Amino acid sequence: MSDFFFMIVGGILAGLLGSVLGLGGGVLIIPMLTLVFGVPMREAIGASLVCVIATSSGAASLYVKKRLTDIRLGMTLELATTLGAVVGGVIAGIMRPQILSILFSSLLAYTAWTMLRRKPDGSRGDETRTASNFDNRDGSYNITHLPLGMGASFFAGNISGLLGVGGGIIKVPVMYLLMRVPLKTAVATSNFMIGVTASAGAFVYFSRGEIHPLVAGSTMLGVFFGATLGSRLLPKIKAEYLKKAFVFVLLYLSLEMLFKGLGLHLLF
Amino acid sequence: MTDKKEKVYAYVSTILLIGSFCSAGFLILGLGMFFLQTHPHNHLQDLIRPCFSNIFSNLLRGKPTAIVNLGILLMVLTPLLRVVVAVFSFLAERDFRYATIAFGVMLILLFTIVANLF
Repeated sequence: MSDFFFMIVGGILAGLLGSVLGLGGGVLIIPMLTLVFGVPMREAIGASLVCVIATSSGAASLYVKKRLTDIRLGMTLELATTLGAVVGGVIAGIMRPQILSILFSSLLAYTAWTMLRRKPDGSRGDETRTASNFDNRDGSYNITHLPLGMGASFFAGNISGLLGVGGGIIKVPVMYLLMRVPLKTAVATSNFMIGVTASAGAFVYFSRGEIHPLVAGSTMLGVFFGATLGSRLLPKIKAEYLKKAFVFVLLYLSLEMLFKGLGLHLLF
Repeated sequence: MTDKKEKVYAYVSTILLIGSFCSAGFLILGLGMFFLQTHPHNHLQDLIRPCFSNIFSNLLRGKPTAIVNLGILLMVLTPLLRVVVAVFSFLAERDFRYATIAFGVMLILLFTIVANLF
């Protein structure tokens, strides 16, 4: 059997798990491609960016339909995230792959920590800012700290272009905690932005020839169907125990990526 | 006004859906052809990296990897389309401030595409 067949299968699993667990695809795809298939780090990042776009376009089409997305806020922050993604992509090109691997390892650890902290219902603490109208045209919620939010968005874009993830893990807390946007709107708006941010980063990887058509194509095809299936299943699944268990998987992957960066090998 | 806005939301999600399903279609076609044309024991290391810049000449020759590339490119371009729709929808709502912002995002993306692909 060809490697690419297994990449499609792996992509389906990553897309399915990612949407059920509320993780971006990249967090799972990069460890899969580098640790299991031996794809070079930057090519894995390039493939992951393409997958992130596929996930975002699938999920965003659902969210936009439900009108949870604040397109105005999203566009404003995208000014910063797209620039950040381009800069991140360029930096990744001059960084040693080992360093990228170690940085990715710490991102995985951070993801595990946020998953552990999350309340069982998926919210992060009290949800007093539930807006009845999600389009902020009539000012149903007030956005605060916009300049700081722009700076944080640039950083989120940077991480996206540098490590091939969506960056939702940074954007959602920035919008929710710092800018005082309702949580559901923050999640939907972040999803809307992720595609645009990842697209800017992806072209930087294209130009370096680091988007291998068969690696990126097979994985993306799998992720697309996995994520679409996952978002349909999502309302019917209670994933609390899966989420708790997955904290350990993420921590393990984080260690693997760290060891890979250091040139050492774990048992598996 | 609200009707118009509803329409814009519907447009955006339709574009995203059409774009991603077309892209998936090209991927299935290209990958399918690749699997049929080449030996079943392909491994990563054996492959020559096709260059992205000659995708269109390779497309004309019916190369499977070029079809896969087209699918990837289509997917990567759907976010740009989304921004373009946003520019026009803000213009239609006579919301010039956000039309300008969306236009700025579009310029950044276009510049990135042109600078990196050509």
